[in-house]
Amino acid sequence: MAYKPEKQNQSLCPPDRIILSFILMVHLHLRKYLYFSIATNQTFNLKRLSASKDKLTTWVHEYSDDLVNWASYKTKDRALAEDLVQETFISAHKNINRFEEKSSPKTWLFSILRNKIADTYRNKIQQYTSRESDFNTDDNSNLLERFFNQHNEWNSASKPNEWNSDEEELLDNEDFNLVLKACFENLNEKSFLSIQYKYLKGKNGKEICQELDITPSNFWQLLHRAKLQVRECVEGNWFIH
Amino acid sequence: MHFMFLSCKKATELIEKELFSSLTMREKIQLMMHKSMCEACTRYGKQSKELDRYIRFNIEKFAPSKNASSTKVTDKYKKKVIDAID
Repeated sequence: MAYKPEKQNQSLCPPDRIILSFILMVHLHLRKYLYFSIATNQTFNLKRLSASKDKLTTWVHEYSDDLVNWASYKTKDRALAEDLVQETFISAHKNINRFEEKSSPKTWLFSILRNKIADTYRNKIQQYTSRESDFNTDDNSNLLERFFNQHNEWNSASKPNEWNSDEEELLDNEDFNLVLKACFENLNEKSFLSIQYKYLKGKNGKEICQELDITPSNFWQLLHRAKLQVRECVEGNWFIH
Repeated sequence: MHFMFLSCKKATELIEKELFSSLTMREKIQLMMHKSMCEACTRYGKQSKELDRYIRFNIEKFAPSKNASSTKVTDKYKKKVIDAID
């Protein structure tokens, strides 16, 4: 009598076993298709990658001259420009899926490069403005001391003088532009950058600050310092000669 | 200092801020009052605007001359870039 319940349990095919073996059979039948599709996908990807490499290689030969020249014109730094262009091609290769055939590759590459250049500016300016303590002391306060006395009024030597300029004439005056250019080159890098960024991009203050992720007050203080120096330099070298 | 009166340093800062973005009403009044009393800052404001115009007009020329930078890139550089793509 004690065997009876065990006998019932020993039935050859309990329902769960039937289901399991069914699943196994289906798997054995279908796996070749499964692996087949994975394999074709891989070769497909490889093919696509090498196609994009070919495409990129052609682009490097065709466009790297223009890209490097444009970047070195924008950054004034040939070595930096070459690095940025190299990065441009690398990210173009990574994001080749996003390239739409209807736009020209040149336009697309230039837009990537433009972002890379903006990134470099952004990093540089952030480096200067994030160190708040440096920003407000040292050479900056010395610089302002040159212009203003302890009551924050103009030092008599640095008071602006009357220019009596003819604006329309000066815009095209080659000699004056040479002076202006030299005064720009005299600026230390951070002031120069701020001004360069402002005028090169042709954007308004809000947009620049959003793009650079800095506070507007930091940015127009940089401009203030740059402007004081350029104004003094232009006055000393052109108007009061 | 009285809240309505600015130092020249502050006034010139506000002049730059005005060119760069915009001033609050209070800053506008402060600047106007300061300019009415301070000839140097009035001049500064006029010259700063003038400089802005010159700079905007000429900024592209301030980059190194185009001819100097339009040298071709070397084949070595192109090879380096193509190798880096992988």
